[in-house]
Amino acid sequence: MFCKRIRISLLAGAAGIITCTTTGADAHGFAGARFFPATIATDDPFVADELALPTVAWFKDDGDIRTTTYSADFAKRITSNFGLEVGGTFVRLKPPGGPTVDGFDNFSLGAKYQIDVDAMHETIFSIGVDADLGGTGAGRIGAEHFSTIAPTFFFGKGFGDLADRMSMLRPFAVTGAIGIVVPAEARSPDGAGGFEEHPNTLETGFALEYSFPYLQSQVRNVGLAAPFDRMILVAELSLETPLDRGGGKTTGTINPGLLWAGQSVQLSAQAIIPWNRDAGHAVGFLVQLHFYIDDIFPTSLGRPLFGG
Amino acid sequence: MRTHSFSAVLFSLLALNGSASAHAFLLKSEPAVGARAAAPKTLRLEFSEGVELRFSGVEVTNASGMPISVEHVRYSGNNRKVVLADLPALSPGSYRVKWHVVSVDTHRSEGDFTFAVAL
Repeated sequence: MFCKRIRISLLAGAAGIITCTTTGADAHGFAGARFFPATIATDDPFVADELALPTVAWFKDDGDIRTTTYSADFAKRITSNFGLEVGGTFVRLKPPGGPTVDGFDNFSLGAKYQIDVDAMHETIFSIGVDADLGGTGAGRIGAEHFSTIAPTFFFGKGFGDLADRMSMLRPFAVTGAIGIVVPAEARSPDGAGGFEEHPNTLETGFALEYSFPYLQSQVRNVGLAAPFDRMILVAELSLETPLDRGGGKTTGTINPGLLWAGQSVQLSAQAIIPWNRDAGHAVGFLVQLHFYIDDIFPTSLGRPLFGG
Repeated sequence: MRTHSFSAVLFSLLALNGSASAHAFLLKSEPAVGARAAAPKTLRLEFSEGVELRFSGVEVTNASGMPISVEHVRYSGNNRKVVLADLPALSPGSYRVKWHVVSVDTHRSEGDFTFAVAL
């Protein structure tokens, strides 16, 4: 989980601020022999019982505002294929030469349904919807007063079925999410006698992974010892493209990093590299502690409410 | 932050409950994954968690996909994380091992790998 969208919002109609919002819970899971970890910037396709607490991010926007976010997200399976997610983020902004401003961003709710998991081909497809609840956050940190809703398609694919001559590429996997963020209001007063437009936005996220555990257990035991035998290299790309209402350019981030997936806990660390100048000009960092609730409490809290 | 305190509590619970179970990952095998070696008489699979033999299985096939008889699938002594299986005399060539296990807390996992028997 859980910095699911690193989005550009507008603070007081002026400087662009990158905020790390939590619109639900990324999930870990299996498709056949493939273990897909929980990624941070890109929501991945699994429904799971898990908790990301905390996700902490540090970065600067193009206005040199130093931003720190603390996020918590919880996901719960209702059935084995359907789950609900809730998340919140506390944001601290420090403008150059100005006082620090902090408060909660809008809280988020999400739902996800796994359409299909193909063990042999290590694929998964899911659909979901995320809602940012307008007015639940603090306006002083840029939390919008209106809600947004984002229907999203998710997929995951492991490359374990590559031919033998490309066996060292089998530990690669990719996950992705493609969604449209629809604001509840097309425009709202900007406080200066005019209006601020709120465009529909195309959100795309991809995560490319190389799994050392998969390499060791499925392809070739190259003798990696702890902690490297549980590590997964990951590079995430998270983009937002306004579709209408003069929304401007595509913005986003590239997040290369490292995951360590233990039996019940996952640790992640990633850099946040702006996709372009509109997304900022300084490299930030993300760290996350993630609990696999289904593995910690397999007979109680970690089971689906129905049909487990 | 309160969230950090909650994480610390959860971490502490995990530490106290050292037996917290999870999906069983294959940690090691003999013959090793992807290795070329002398013909083994026994297949040894070592998992990260204890497994339930009743709900677990292992198959071995040769390069043509023909099944190889696997017999006497058992734990290594009292160690439920290690599964042993006897193999017949294997001729040189490539073999694929397919396994599936259910960990003691009912999580299912599976995998497959190849090894080669040298001339």
